[in-house]
Formats: sequence, structure tokens, C-alpha cells
Amino acid sequence: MNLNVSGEIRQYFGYDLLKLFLVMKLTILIIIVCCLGVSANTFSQTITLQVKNKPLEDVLKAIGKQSKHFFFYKYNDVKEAPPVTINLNNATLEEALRACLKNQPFDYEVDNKTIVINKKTVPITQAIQQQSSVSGQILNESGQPLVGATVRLKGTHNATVSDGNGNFTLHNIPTEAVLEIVYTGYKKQDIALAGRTQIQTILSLDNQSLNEVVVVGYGTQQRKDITGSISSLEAEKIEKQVVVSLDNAIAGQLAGVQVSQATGAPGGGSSVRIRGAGSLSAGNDPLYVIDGFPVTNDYNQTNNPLNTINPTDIENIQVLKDASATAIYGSRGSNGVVLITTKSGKAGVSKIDFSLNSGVQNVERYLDLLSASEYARYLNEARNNAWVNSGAGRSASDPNSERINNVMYLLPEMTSNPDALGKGTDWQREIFRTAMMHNYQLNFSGGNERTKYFISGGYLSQEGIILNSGMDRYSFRINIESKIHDRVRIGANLTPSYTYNNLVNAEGNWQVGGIVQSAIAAAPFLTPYDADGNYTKITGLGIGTSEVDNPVKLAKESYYKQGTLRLLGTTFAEVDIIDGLRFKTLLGTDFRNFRENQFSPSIVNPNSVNAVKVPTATAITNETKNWLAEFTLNYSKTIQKHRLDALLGYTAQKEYIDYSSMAGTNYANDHIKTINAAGLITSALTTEEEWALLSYLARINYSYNDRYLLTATMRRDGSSRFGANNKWGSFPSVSVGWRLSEEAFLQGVNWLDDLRLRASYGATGNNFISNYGHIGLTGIENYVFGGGSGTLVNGTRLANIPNSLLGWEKNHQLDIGLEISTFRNRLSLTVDYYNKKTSDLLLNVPIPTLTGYGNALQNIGEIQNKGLEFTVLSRNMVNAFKWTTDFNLSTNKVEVLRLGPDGSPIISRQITSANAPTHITRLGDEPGSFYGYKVVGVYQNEADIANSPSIEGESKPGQLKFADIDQDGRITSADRTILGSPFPDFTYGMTNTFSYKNVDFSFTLQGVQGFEVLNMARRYYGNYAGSYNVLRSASQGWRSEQEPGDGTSPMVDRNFGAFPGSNLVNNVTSLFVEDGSYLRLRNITLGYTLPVSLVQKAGLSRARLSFTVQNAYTWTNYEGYNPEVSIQGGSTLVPGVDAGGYPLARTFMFGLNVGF
Amino acid sequence: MKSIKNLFVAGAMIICTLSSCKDFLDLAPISQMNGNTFYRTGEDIKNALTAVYGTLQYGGMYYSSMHVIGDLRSDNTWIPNPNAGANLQEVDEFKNNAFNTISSSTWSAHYQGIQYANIVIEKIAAVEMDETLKKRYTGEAKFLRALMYFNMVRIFGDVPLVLEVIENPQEGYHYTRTPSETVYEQIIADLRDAEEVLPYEYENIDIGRATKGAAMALLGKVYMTQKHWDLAAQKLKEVIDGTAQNKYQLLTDYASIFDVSNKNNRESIFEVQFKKSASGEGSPFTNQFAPIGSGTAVTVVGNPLGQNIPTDDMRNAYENGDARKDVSMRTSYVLNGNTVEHNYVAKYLGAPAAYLDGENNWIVLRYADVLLLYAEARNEQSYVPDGEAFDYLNQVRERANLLAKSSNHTDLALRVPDQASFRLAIEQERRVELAFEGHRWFDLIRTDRAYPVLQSLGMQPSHALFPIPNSQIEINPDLMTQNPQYD
Repeated sequence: MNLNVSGEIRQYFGYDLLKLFLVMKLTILIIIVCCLGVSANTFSQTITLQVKNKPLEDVLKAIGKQSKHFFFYKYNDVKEAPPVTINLNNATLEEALRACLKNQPFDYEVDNKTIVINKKTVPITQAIQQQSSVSGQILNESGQPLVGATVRLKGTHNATVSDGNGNFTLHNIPTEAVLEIVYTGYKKQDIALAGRTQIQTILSLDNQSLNEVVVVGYGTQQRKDITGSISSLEAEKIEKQVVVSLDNAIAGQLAGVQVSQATGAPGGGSSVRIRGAGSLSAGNDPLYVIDGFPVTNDYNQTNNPLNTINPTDIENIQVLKDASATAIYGSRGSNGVVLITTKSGKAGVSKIDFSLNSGVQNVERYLDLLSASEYARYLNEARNNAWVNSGAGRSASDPNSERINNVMYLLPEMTSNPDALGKGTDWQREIFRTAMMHNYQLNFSGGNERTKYFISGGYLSQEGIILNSGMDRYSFRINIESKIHDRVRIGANLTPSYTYNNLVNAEGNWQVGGIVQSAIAAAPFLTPYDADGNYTKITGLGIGTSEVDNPVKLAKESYYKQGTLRLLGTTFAEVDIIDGLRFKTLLGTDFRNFRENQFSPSIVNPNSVNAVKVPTATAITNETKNWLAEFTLNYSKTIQKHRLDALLGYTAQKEYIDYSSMAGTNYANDHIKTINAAGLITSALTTEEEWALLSYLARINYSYNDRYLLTATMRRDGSSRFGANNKWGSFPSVSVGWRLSEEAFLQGVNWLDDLRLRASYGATGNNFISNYGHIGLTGIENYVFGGGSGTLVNGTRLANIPNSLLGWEKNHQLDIGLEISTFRNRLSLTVDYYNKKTSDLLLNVPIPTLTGYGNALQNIGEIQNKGLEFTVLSRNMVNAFKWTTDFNLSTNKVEVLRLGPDGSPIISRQITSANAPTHITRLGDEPGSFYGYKVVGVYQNEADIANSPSIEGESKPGQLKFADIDQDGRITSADRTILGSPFPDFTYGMTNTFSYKNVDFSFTLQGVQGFEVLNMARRYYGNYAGSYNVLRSASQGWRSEQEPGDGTSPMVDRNFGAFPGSNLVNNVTSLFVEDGSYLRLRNITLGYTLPVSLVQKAGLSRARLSFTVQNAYTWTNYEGYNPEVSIQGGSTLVPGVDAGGYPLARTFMFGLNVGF
Repeated sequence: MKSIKNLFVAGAMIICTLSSCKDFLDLAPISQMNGNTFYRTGEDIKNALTAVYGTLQYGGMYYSSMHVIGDLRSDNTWIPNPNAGANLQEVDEFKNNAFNTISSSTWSAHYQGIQYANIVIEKIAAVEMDETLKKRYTGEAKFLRALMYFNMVRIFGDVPLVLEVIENPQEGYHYTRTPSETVYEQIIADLRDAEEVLPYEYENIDIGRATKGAAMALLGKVYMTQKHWDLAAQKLKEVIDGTAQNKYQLLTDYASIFDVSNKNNRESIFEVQFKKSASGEGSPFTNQFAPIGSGTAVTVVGNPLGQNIPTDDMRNAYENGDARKDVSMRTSYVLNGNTVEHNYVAKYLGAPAAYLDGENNWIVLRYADVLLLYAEARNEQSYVPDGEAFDYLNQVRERANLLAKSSNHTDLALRVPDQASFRLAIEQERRVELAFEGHRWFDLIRTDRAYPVLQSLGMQPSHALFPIPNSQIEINPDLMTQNPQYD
């Protein structure tokens, strides 16, 4: 394909427009080559021409005709040119042009089929000035060389960058020149040479960072112009924390962002909440955008896609919080947006960086459980009580022979002499281990003024602190950016990674083999191995303890493997069409291949008296392919005091999901674990799904006099996930800012550096629902026809009601912010108030059955989140000894405003609860509140029962006394009430950084205050029945009025089933609900940077040693391992349940970082 | 600047050409069948129509509700053992309120069937298929829709009249209760359409589908309910006269009407089909009607539920020598060698394959019903001593080995001297002839006899209608109202 017409075209344009045309042509070519892959033909001609004293214009026309090229020139320039005399014979185009422009004040450029004739712009005055060179060194405030700083002769393109030692040399400069030195994050410096040829300069940190460029959706903005609420995290703070996944790097660092690391399993995901939880069913995870590519984050606790991104490759993370910032992401913006920008090369000398981090991990805490002899005593007491309570005239001293033959009453032989059992087995110490972790990273980066590159390879190996768990990650990154033309930049980011995860079934009830819960519940008088070194069979003992399987066996025999191959890549081309107008096209793909293989061997058989079972296995493959095409046009213009920045865009994105799974059983033995060895395939299925999104977007940023700022955005999204009558939605936002500090009346206030007010309001959406929720699926409805006894005939019905109006959850958010910077930018404070309402919640609710259906997925219901966020950055000491403090605190109040048509509450059961509901979501309260009976004490005697509300015919002294919520004088199921909520009152974080000469030290504290945890595992390790080992605190039960225990623990009784209403096993009570508030010393880092003089001798440019402790200590009253736990992490309806989660590890790491 | 715009448009166009913008967002499930792509062929419509029949087997229809309402609420049967279910007992004792599950299950099952029927009637229009079949399928769907609305309007009175496919949940909130007269007009219109296009008879695999006779018989019954005696008499006579191919008849042996090896016999006009051992197509009646505690003495397999136990009043309603009595009910069973005195229904005692997986069909319309309705219609037109009405009444009696009734019989028990006593004779005959087939309650309501007859059992006049399910009022309080006395 050739877009051009051959022939002669005379141009009378000014040069700029001419360039525009050129650029346009180029852009079209890029698009066409990109999209259609068509290549253009090339021509080669020779020129024969003889002229004498002819006008230049005519000669050029003749050359153009012969060579089939266009000429572009300024008519007046050429017209005034001296005449030309040449004699060409089969000359090349180059020769011809050189000949005819000889001694002419013109240059030429050949660009494809176009020749541009420019008037030479020789700066004559400069040419006669004296030329010389200047060299120097650029250092930071602590005397470290700054590598890659740009040194430019002011007002020219004559520039260089500093090398590995901060040195530079710049040639051909006038002696009286002014040098401009620019380095990202530092204040720009102008140096008048005044004849010097050798300079040394120290750049100071640009703490105010007002001119810092911040990545926003579909573009960048200077921080001083931002009117939305955006929190940022820089590479330095990510790298310092030795975390495996970027979500954990954010924890405690940013106001309004709550990261709950619910599992310590290698590769496990955390739940990230930006400004609370706005959705009940459509997910509350933010949208992650990696280098401009919005990725699908199908988070779950065992498979975290964010894991495939190596945190040390990240340049910065921006968290967009308010509607002004997120509305540009439309139907996916309502949970906030996390923009991740990866590192790119800097112009300057090539750098090689190598880092090595190696260390060990330990479980952060152990639970205080009963020893073998204590447990034996406890168990005996439970049986004696059961026996005494089972009928009149029965005594705890009755021997087994006098008791009814029932395990609940009989004292086991094993526990007949508790003292002899001693400490017994500490199962926790049997399953936890000191685990190794290694992280290697090698980076190559560099570039020049035109091309920059960053290439990295990383390998991470992390053992889990539970036996037999761990992960490996191989990650690579290639970022290249090149200026292929003065006005054209192209680039590519390519991120291949492979993550291999060896999981164990740590979390969950012991009945399904949850290792952590099994280790807590297993009897300490049993051992993991017998005398021959084989696993001890600890089930089926017939002594009335539960059939908890050997936790060591559960861990060691686990076969649960996951592998994820991910290729995330984007390419872009950017064209400056005219000054200020930039067109960008970005194409990207995200390819993920996930495989999971599980095998449950015959010898793992929890909750059964049998030693073996039939093995089972599953194999899962999930392949997702996602592509994105994005076209944006950006225009910036400054006219006097007006600055305008506008964006228009069009994007399309589509994802294909191919899922297959297979399950088999009837394995002959445990040797071969793959499905081919299964004797019976119990299920095999493959499914395909896809979704697509089309969007138009627009944004205008306007500022007047740097004081009055306005941002307006609009996105229009069309989604395949929504009903035919509701395919498209609009998401507008507007925000304003006022920089009071620029006003005349505050100019005199010396201590005030920046003061800004901003406000925003806008709409966003949440489209995270199933791909085909609006479509009515068909189902089977058979009937019988035919003579005799009839024949079964297939019938097909519409199994669920279609919903042509199904749409996104709508979020409207107001944000008011104040930013202040004082004392020469030593102290800055940001305060934000927000109020966001999510309406049209996607809920499956009852509908009029005259439709033919009982329930339908509908947009109904409303939730409000509102809160305050504070961020303080303080540079306490700035001299040789430096000390900075970053502090943030956020509050959030979440409330359900509206539910289904009849407003009835949603009562839910988290699956680890046997049959009692665990959560309630009702109007006026926090969603997913814990729901059950409130314990107010223990009945002390019959009189107490008679005088208090009780369970009719059931309550006895020593049993739990519940609050009579409905005050009807009886305890019934109507007395269940809200017992707590997993939503905190406030969260906070603080990082202190100190440095003195070559030593740096920092620590991060993170806390969450005012939330509860539903510790459902207490149903086992706090069950007051002696059928499991228990927490020491749960062993202090009521014995008598004289020995009432701790006042809220009932009498231990093995026969708990006799009291269905009052027993702890079947009901959720306030005894399971614990205060989860905690303060965690999340990170301690001590670093030492070797003196330059020393490292240079070793051929290095720099070297740093570091020692880091992650999750050093947690202060909390919570009795489980980790108050952040939530077995169904992402759920809003059943959050905050501890079913024995994988504990967090305390990590000690040594690090070495060297640069060449 | 125009070029820039063009450029932008070009970029957008490239994407749109690669994948048309509309299609790009119009994605249908790949691995699941769905309503947007189904209903394209005659075969699809046939499957959709089968599903409408399938709803007849729902708990809220002939599986349970129709006999709970038709017999249990009347004086025919009762619940002697409360373990049979509180909801059933409430219906039996006129204590059911708006929370009773019989109301909600009946309501939702019927509207499910109506929605599926509406789908067939609406979607078939665009399908290219055999025109005869197209007409027939439409006729069958209309018959079924009419049958369902007829049940609904008799049970609840005014009910929302949904005649279009509901495309999204919001539409469900726009319906209010339609006056029963309007509902009846629609039922009649549907049955007339059905009558036009349905065949007299089916062969082989199609046996069991709605026939022309079924549409006419039901239409006759609808007219009777509306007390349009002339229209009713005319339509019912058409059924009786039939045609050469389609001549209904009374089977000589009353028992053989209900014999599982004699389904869809010449007396049967329309029945709900069931089949045991066929993945959930079995009927529950054997287990439902066997007395609690009877073990396997009455039902060979499964669990006796004791849900529809004949009253002693019912037992005594049979005249001496009535051949129908022993076929319809028994008064004792033998368990472990001991005789237990206990009434139970005997019409549906085919051996189930498993619990609730029986073979018995449920007869909705049969010839004897038509004969008695016709006799009743003639009597309502005018009492003619020993006229045509007597002939048809006596046809039914004769088959039961009973003596004919006449206007001046010497035996007072057989004498029917006037119109009023003929009405009672019909009422009595329908009660015993059609016992436990789900007719008694509707007959008493239709003839305004429910309150006088059932008053002694606790009925109030307001009990003539069932309560609208409370959930349906709560969900749409603006448009849904409750029947009187149930608020």
C-alpha cells in the first residue's frame, strides 16, 4: 500500500505546517504498519540534468520529477536563492541534491519519499565566540555521585549526562555559557560558568516535589497541578521491604489504602482495599494498571496474579483514590486504581546492578496451647463432668466400670496418668520450620539521548515456614524506548515471568485436612512418628478425641503444585504532531497460563477412623489471553497565565478465558500422582468465556496563573458483561484546586511554601461480575410422552431470567483535600475527606415470581464509605544526620444504606461454620458483621437460671448465659445479634528513616485499630469439650460457684451435643469474636554504603550492604496467629474469619547491592 | 486540524473494522446454551414446549398443590397425622395465612409454566418451520397457558395476567392483579385458538399432548364456572358427540381408568404424564397418600406421607354397592399381620420404583367429568323430568353398578323431583365419581356450595379464595393486594 501520489507538489506552507504534514504521514504509516502489517515499496532512480543559471526552484522541480520525490520548502526562501548551474549524469539523489545546494544557504533531509529543504540556521554570533570545553562532577547532598544527570548548555540541544562517578564533559561551549543540570527528584540547577572549565556541583533534593511528574491515568501530570487524591510510593521504599509481592509493599505506606495480608503462604495474595468496601458481591479489589495495561486481577488467596510482577522492577506505584483520578477508568474505577510503572533506563553510561538478598524466615508467634499432661487432665475433667451431668447420683470418682459404655464418659487408658505424659509433642513446632529465602536480581540499564533501555532478570526462591511449601519465581523485563525522530518515540515493555508454587493445604478445618488447625487441635500426647520412623496414625484411636489427622503427614504428603507463565507486554508509538499535540498508540497483550495439579494420597485421610482412603487428584489449566489497543491524543498549551492540557482517547480490550479441569480417583497406589494413573475419571470439563470493553475517554486540565486548577474527565464504557439495554455508561468527574500560597495575600508568609485546597466529585463503576450474568441460560425440563408407560422426552427451559438492564455498580464520590507544605518544605501535610456512595449494587435478590423466576441478579442496594485521611511528611533533621518521618492515618466508616426490595438482611454462613450462620449484612450496619449469640456470663446456680433469661429446658449451671436481645425472657434464635465487624475504625502507618554518612536505618510501623476477627477455629481449639487440644486461655472453665473460672468460659463437658442451644460447637457466640487491633513493626532496615574510594579499587561503582527484618513484631491481644486473617479474603459478605490461616513469617534478610 | 480528526477516526475505524463495534460487545456464552441463541428451529421450540408440559409436574401444580387444594381443603380428605406437614394441615383446616407455602408454591409454579408457555407463543413467530406444526405447538402452549390461568383464577381470584415474555426482572414489578373477568376472557380466547388448531388425536410418541377434545372439554368447564349454561352445554355436547376418530367413552371397568398399564385411555381427555425410573419423572401420589406408619403395606417402596387421607364422611358418601368405592379408597391395611383401620386413597397404587418415583399419571380431564358437567348444564338451562340431563347422569351411575335416578323414583333416595334436587344429585355423583382427582373443592366453589357444605369444618366465606403469597405483596406492595380477611 502506498498512500502517496507520485509527482510534483509545490508547497507554499510555513515550515511548521509542513512538518505537521510529514508527521501525519508518518503516523498513518505507523498505524497501518502496526495494524495491517503492510510494507511499503522503495524506489531507486538516477538523475541526469544539465542546467545553467536556473532558479533553484526549477532545478528542484526537475530533480523531483525524475526521482519521484516530493519537495517541501518555504517558497520565499527558495525564490530568493541564487541561481544554480549543474551538470549531472546518472547521479544519485544525494549527489544531485548536494550539487544543486552547493554554496546555497540550505540544508536538506530525505524522509522516505519526501525531501525537505531548510534554510541553514547557523548561529553566526555564536560561531565567532570562543569555544571551549567544561568538565565537572555532580554530587548529591551526602556527597554521592549522581549518575545519569543531564548537563545541558542552556537553551540548546548540546547536552551530555554524567557517568558512573558523576563526571561529565561538555564540548563546544562558549566561555560565558550557563549550564543547566537536571536530575529527576532533585532541584534543577543553573550554573553560570563565568570562564570556568572545571566545576563541581551539589544538587539538593527537590523535597517539595511540586514539579515532580506523577503518572495519572492515560498520561502524566505535575504534582502541583493535581486536583485529585493520589498517593505515591517510590522504588526506594518498595525495594527496602523484602517482600515478594507488590501488594505487600504498599501495606502501611499510604493513607486510605488497607492491605490485609491474610496468609503467610509463599505467593499468597493480600486483600487490598482503597477507601473501604463499596461492593457486596462484585469485588472490592482495585484495578491494577501495569505500564498502561489494565490487568485482570482475579485475586484469591492461593493464586495471586500480582505475584508475577517482581517488586524490584517497579519504579513507582500511584494509587488513585478519588473519583477525579479514577473516573478516567470508568466502569472499573470504583474500587480505586493502582498504577504501576516499571523501571526504565536513564540516559547516561550503561549500568549493571546486581543485588543479592538472602535470609531466613520463622513463624512470627506460637499459640499458647496445653501440654500433654495438661490436656490429659482437661480431657478427663470433660468426661467426668459429662458423666456427672448425665444423671443423678453419678460422681466424678466413678471408675470406668461403673460408667455407661460411651466414649464421652469413659476415661481413656492413655490419659490415666496425666503427669507422666509431660510436655508431649508441640505440633506447631513439628509443622513450622526455619525457611530460607533468596532473591537475586541483575539489571542492565542505560542509554543515550535517543534510546534508553532497562533489562532485568530476577530469581526468587522462597521456602514456606510450613513444611513442604514454597515458591520460585523467574522474572525478566525488557523496557526499551527510543526517539526515532525528533517528534516520534517508540517503546516496548516486555515482561515474561514464570512462577512455580508448591502449596500445602494450610488453611481450613481439620476435617478437610487444614494443617494449621490440625496442628493446634491434635492431641499433644501423640507423636508424629512411631519408633520405626513411620507416621503415627493419630486417628481412629477410639478414645473419643476427634479424628484429626497427623499434621506432619498432612504437610509432608501434600502434592499441590501451581505454575503460572505470564507474558505481559506493551508497545507504544508517540508522535508530536505539532508542538503540544501528541498522539500515542499503545498495544498490549497479557497472556497467562495457569496450571494446577493436586493429588490426595491414600494415606492422608482426615476425619475418618480408617487409615487409608481411595486417592483422588485434580488437574486444572486456565489460560487467559487479553489484548488492549489504546489511542490517545494529548494537547498542551500555555498562553501567558493559562495552561491547558487535554486528552482524548479510544481504547478496546478483550479477554479470552479457556478453562479445563479433570478429576480422577481409584488410583491403584500413591506412586504415580498424575491423572493418567487414575482408575476412574470423575469429571472432565472444558469451558470458554470472553469479555470485551470499548471505551472513549476525555480529560481537560486547566490552570490559571498556577493558582486556579480545574480537571474534568469523562469516560464512556461499553461492556459485554451488561444487558442489551444497558451496554454503555458514562463516567464523568470534575475537580477544582486552589493554590492559596500563590495568592498575593499569602506571599508574605515566609513559613508557608505551599497551601492548596482541592475538591472533586465524580462517578465511577464496578463491572466485576460474571461474564454472562445478563443472559438467560437454558436448563433441562423434561417430560413424558408416548403410549404405554411413556418415553422420556427432552425439554429445555430458560433456567434464569435474563436482565437486559443489568449494569455496573455506580459509585459517586466526593473528595475534599488540603495540602500544606511549611518551613522550607520540611513539613508537609495532606488531609482528605471523602464520601463515596455505591448504588445499584449487584445482588441476587428475590423478584416477583410472576416473572416465572424467584431470584435475579439485579442492580439494587446502596453502601456508603466515608472517611478521613492524613499524611504527614517531615524532614526532622537535614544536616549530616538526617531523619525523616512519614506518617499516615485513615479512618473509614462503611454503612449499608439499602438492600433488596424488601430490605431484608442478608444472612450468610462462612463455609467453615458447620451450619450456623456467621455473618449478617443489614441496613444501617457494616456489611458482613459477625452474627450470633452474645455471651454475658455463665449460669452460676439454679436460682441464677430462674432469674435470668434462659433456654427452656436446657440451661444448667455452668453453661453459657446469653444476652436476651429481644427481651422476651427466653433465649431463642431471635436473640442473635451483631457481635463485631472486620472493618477497622482507623488504620495507620509510620516510617522513620535515619542516615548518617554511609549508614542508613529505617523502620516502618503499621497498625489497624478497632476491628474484630471471627475466630471460627475456636470452635475446635476452644470448644470446652476435651475432644481437641485447646488454647490455655480456653481451659479455664467454670467448675462450681466457688471456682467460676474466668466468668465467660462454661463448664467443660465432653457431651456438648446434649445442649444444642447452648453449646459452642454449633453456634457462633461472642466467645469466637476477638478484638483484632494490632500494631506491627513491619520493617526494619539497616544499610551501609561502602565508601566510593574503597569500591572503586574493586572495580565497582558502588556497593551497599543491608540487613532487613520484615514482620519483626506484632502487638495485639488477638489469640490466633494473625489478626489480618480472612479465609475468604475478598468477600464482603463473609469476611474476617480465622479458620487456622497460614501464619505470617518473620523474615531476616542480608542484602548486597553492587553496581558496575 | 481536520487531518488530526481524520487520523483519530482512522484509528478508531481500524479497530472497528477488525471487529465490528456492535459484535465486539455482543458476546454470548460459549460453553452454555442460552436464551439468546436458542429458539431458532422447530426442534428448539418443541423442546421449549416440552418444558411447559414439564411444569405440570411441579409441586405447585399437579404433583401436589392441585390435590391439596382440590381435595384436602374440601370434605373429601384430611390430615389425621400432623407429621404430614403443618402447611397442609392449615389448608385442610382453613387456617392457612399468606405465609402458607401452598400459596407461594402454587403461585410460582403456575407463573413458571405461564412464562415458558409465553416463550413458546412469542418466539415461535420468527422460527421457520413446518406451518402445521407451528400452529399445533402454539395451540398446545395456549391450552396449557389457559389451564394454568384457569387454576390460578379459581384459587386466587384476580391474578396478574402475564402474556408476554418477561425480559428483565424490573418488568415483574409492573404487573398488578387483573380482574378475574379479564383473565377468563383470555382463557376462553386461548382455548378457542387451541381448539381450532389442535388435532383430535396423537400417535406414538406424541400421545399425551393436548388435543382438540381437551381444549373443548376445558372450555366447557370454564363456561360452567362462569355459569354460561348455553355455551357450556353446546361445547360439552361437542365433546360428547366427538367425531369418528375421536369418540371418548366410559370404560366398563372403573378401576381400569387408573391402571398404570392403561394410561391415556379412551375415557381420559387430558392427563399429566409421569414415568418411574426416568430421572425425576416419577409421580409421588402413592407415597403421598399412604398413611403414615403403614410402612410398605400400602406403598411397596418408600416412605408413606399420609397427606390426603379420606374422611369418614367421604367413606360414607358412597351408596351401597357402588363399584367405585373400593377402587377409590380403602379403609384398612395389614401391617405385620395386624389389620390397621385407616382410610387411604387407592386410585394411585402403581408400584413406585423408589420413594416419590411412581408410575401413576394424574388425570386432569376425563369423559365422566364431561358427562356430569353436561348433565348439570342441561339442568341449569331448565329442569326436564327424566330429560337428557338424567340420561347422562345415569350413564355414569350405571357404570358404577348403581340404579338410575329418575324424577319420580319410588325409592326416595333415587328420586330427583326438581332442579334443586338434580343439582344435589350431580354434586353427589361428582363427589364419588371424581373423588381424589382434585375436583371437589372447585366444584363446591363453582356451585356456591362451599360455605354451606364446609362451614362445619371451619370455613368462612372469605376462605373461598386462597391468600396471595405474602412474599409477593412485600416485594411489590404498591401493586399487589391481598385477598380479603388475609391481611
